[in-house]
Amino acid sequence: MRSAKPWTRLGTLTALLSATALAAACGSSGSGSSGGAEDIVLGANVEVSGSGAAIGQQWQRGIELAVDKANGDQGFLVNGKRYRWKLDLKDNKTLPDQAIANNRAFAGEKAKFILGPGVSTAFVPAMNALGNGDRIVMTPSVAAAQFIGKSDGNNLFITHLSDTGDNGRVAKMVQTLESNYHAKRVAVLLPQDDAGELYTKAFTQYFTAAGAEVVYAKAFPGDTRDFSSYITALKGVNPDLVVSGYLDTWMRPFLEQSAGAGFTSPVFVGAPGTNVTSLGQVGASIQNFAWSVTTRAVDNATDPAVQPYRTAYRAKYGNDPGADGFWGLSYYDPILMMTKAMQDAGTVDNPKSISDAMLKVTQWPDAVLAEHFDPAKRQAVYTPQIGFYAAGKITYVEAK
Amino acid sequence: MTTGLRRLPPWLGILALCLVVLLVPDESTQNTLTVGLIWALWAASLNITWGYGGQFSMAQVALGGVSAYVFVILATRSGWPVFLAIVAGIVSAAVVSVVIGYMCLRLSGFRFAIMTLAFALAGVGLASSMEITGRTTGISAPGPWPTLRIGPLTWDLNGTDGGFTLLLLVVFLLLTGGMWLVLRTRQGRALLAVREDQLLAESVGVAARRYRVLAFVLGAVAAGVAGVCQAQYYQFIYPSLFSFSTLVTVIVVLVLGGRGLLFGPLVGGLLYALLTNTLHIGGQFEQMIFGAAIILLTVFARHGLTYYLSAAVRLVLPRPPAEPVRAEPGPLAPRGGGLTDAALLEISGLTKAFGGVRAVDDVSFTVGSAAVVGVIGPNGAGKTSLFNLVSGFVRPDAGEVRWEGRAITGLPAFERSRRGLVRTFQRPRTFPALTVRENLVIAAEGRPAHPGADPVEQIVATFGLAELADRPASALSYGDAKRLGVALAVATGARMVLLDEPAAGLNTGDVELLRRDLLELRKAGCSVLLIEHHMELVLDVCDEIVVLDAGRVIAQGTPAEVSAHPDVIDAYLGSAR
Amino acid sequence: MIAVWDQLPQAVANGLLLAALYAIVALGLTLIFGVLDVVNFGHGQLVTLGAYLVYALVSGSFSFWIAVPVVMVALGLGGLLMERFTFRPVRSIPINGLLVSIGWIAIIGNVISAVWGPDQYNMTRVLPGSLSFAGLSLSRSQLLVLGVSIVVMVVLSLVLRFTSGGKALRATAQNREAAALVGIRTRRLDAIAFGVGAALAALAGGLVANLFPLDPSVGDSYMVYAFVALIVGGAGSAAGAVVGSIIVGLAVSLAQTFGSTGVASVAPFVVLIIVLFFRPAGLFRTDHEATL
Repeated sequence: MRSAKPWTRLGTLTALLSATALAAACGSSGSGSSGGAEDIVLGANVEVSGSGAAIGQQWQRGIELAVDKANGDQGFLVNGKRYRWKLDLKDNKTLPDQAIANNRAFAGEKAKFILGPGVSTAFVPAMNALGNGDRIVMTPSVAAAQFIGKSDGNNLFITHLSDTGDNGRVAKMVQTLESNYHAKRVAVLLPQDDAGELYTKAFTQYFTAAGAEVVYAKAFPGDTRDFSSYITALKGVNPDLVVSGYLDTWMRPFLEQSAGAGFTSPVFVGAPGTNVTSLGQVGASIQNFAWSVTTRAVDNATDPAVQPYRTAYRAKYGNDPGADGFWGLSYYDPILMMTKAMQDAGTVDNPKSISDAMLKVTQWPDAVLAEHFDPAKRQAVYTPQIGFYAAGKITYVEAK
Repeated sequence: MTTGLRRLPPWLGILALCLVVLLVPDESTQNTLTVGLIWALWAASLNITWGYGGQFSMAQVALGGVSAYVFVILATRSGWPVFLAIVAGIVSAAVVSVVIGYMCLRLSGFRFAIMTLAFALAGVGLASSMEITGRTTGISAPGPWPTLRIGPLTWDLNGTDGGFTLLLLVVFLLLTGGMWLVLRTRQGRALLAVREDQLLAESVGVAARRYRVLAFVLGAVAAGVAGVCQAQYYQFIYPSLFSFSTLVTVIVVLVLGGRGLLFGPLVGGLLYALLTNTLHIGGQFEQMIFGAAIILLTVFARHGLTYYLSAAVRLVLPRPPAEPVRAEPGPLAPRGGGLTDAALLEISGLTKAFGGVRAVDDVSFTVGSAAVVGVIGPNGAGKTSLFNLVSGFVRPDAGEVRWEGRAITGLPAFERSRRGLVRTFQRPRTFPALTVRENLVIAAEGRPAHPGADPVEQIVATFGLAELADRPASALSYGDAKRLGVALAVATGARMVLLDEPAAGLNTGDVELLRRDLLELRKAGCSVLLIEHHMELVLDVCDEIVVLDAGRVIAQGTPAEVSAHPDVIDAYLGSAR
Repeated sequence: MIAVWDQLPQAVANGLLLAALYAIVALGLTLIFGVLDVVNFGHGQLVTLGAYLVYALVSGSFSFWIAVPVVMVALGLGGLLMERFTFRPVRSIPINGLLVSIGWIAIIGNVISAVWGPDQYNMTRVLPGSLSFAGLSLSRSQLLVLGVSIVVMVVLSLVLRFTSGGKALRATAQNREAAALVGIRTRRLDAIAFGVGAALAALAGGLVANLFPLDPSVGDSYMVYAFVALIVGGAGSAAGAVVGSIIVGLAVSLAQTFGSTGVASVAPFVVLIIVLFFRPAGLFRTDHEATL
């Protein structure tokens, strides 16, 4: 075609122009310092929006509170020099692509410390995109376990207790539940994704080990809001305990529609990720509901351990943390621990030394959740809580 | 000076881009370039199927997903060598696209888009629930690619020194170069013809369905390449990566850059990456701004940025006027067959009913060589329906069409056109975005090679289109477009043209030109079957006239016989005069 | 096997209740498509927007029964403007309408996220609880959807059949040029069809707000399934949209109740592909002769 020719040439010219513009636009970025303390970039890849947003908001707050605490007024001292965390928080929209783009951007900015993503579907690809283990990465995503032992995971820390394993969250939860309810017929209905699959396996395994029979196990698509077909099938198998969740987005309509369908007799159990707000308006008809408090309940006004966190939270955000506030602790303590580890190691840019020091940290200022990191699994070890709701009353119990 | 600048080889621009890729050490710029190039690859794939093939495929990203999954699974689980796995991935995208392409062929426009989207969503659903694809979690890519060594040169294909970015650029240029070559071939022109107007393309002998599948498959190959590059870049793939939101971004990128332009995807991709990755234009309102941009571009500037940029560049560096090709108006040369007395076209008992109404009812007549036969009748008499049956656009319920003594009732329209039976359309149809000359080149493509003058130039001269030859057909006046329609039919080297109301809407001068052309055609040995309401013209040029009313032939004969026929005067002429 | 028969009536009832909601969305889409030839991909976002607006009014102590009509009128007017300023200029090329609607997805979806954020909202339900009937358990708020959906179908078919405006709309959907020739103001009808379609989306949104917690993606799945229903039924036919909705509703419900996860996630699309393969124009529309 004759007309194709000028377009080709002029198109090339435009390509050239845009490339030049690109090169020109990119060259300007630098690091600064403020108030005599040098900034250290803390990249946070957080689920501020998207399907993980409800949790992501608490994660963001936990991070902000920890950074405020660590920085104080003057910054913190490492080797006699003052430093401040400079938080660079990027929303990953709970989307893998955005999470990857954020991590690539952090890598481009040469950030040495990266938090998140916390949702497994976003974390795994984003971690892959980082390419090497030259940075300290902390995430609550338990799917991160697959990187431990590989070079990518050299400086990786998992801030949540493992879900699986005999000392994991699920095992402890099942033991506590079975000692309370002695369920014989168990149903598991979780979303069709990474975490859903993991929880389905773990709950099936530990309920079976505890002598119960798993009579129903199915996965639903993530955009499900109408659970009536699943509830119909569940009624058909007549379970005495139903595990669902793992987010409020699903748990709440599920409970509401179960109540609507007159399916209220079983014990409802929320997989890690849910909390008492899932009950919504149907609290009166659901007899028993239990959920995993992944860390420690910060809405529990009677617990002295969480009081400092509650005070700081109220001061910054103007209200008390709610039932989902415990997510903030996924990052809060680990950030403070890492700050301590840097002081112990006497370096702010050697990931290896900081990691080694991190594994030895057992005490740090302003601690809320008593934890330490397992040197082999690089995973936080602590005692999680389980929430119980019965007859309008909430109790928090330390898992067995 | 201007000419000197114009002569800048296109390779210079490309070389410059390569240098930028190689010399910019900054990781974040490198990343922006990489992201931009990956978007450009995706957009290039959609550009082939949609921009050049005219089919809005919403399966493009999913087809790339097929390729990515096959590549990753073969390379990691089956232990295939990486290169073979890549080829297998791309081939499987092409194979899947052939299957989908044939299943979607019967649909066009938005239905085609929806059907392809349904396939895409079903594919994503499938990948989300299969063990081998890692369900919703996804699977890891096979890791770094080997380093290429050519003599002392090494090329680290994954390199942080821009090796991967350079690879993407080279792949994009290969794809684009390939497309550029395809577009210069007869097949490439046919592709554009089908995009511009499928029916007209068929009427001038282009096997439109085949080219639609071709466009779909070529696009799928490009999508396969994009999918593999995406997998390699992320080192991880998962179903939602190939889902609707990625598709939307690809559409944004292509619309931004300009569809149907070779470098549109590159400009769109780099711009998109620059805006989102580096400048963070819009921050949290990013997607909103792109949404608004896509609407504004569609409403006000649907050619995309590349088009306007190049138009601006062309203003600064104007193209020297093309050397005009002169050809004398001369005798038209239809394809062989010789002048025989045998009937060229025989129609017998042709019948077609639409929902109980018999549009064409038991029509029979014959047309000989070098004859001009008029078909007249009141509106709704079934004239155009008759043409649709004869030219093969609609299948008859009963009856037979014979051409040069052989039955062609079952042949598709493009086959009939290739045998020399070519129609025009009542509402003038052209390939609007192409120039008049390009229109004619496509039409003349099926013509047997003929020694002597270039048939296209000759038709340009004969139909008085020389002044208009380099203008896009969309810029023609109604009368000129109708003329071009006739010229296209003639350009195929037809032995018989079916003209559907060629005089409608023409002024007196144009009708006179048309009359001259018709007589010229007959002189050259080309038969004409003419639907026309312009009775003076019909009575003047026709050797024979067939009168239709309510789908039936009510009279047939020489102009004198027909105009004396009482039924005709009653049904038609009486009221017309 | 016995369990399957026990659950079948309830599964069918669930499917029909689902279908009722799909049908309201699909009817809006059909109206817009029939008259304007535009597939409005942004319809799901309109449903979500309707749901949030109804929620906002109800939490501002309006009655649900007042909030829904108010939001319907508001989004209906919004629809008129959308048609006038973004869809009308690209009327001549339907595929560009698709592009414009993709632009609207991004705009409306992100406006919702920007205004309401990621939090989940729960509207105080009207008609809580459920009825038991012949061994079936039917939630009252879903029965409301069924009732509303039937009213919409009846009103719409009466309007289309017996009012002059409805007849003009049908005429335009069948043959635009002919309709214009006999003096129908087709442009005005475009705007009206879009407005009514948007109002139906708002109505569906209001009903969704009364059923489920709200998040920015709450309308998406309705859009996808209503869309499949529309195409299965034969785009442009109101009866087709309803029948298509019933088919899709049943397919989704039965696959979720009895099928594996994989089957459930592809079922509606497989139905669509099968129908389109054998009847490219959908169940309720015959192939038109190509316009030559």
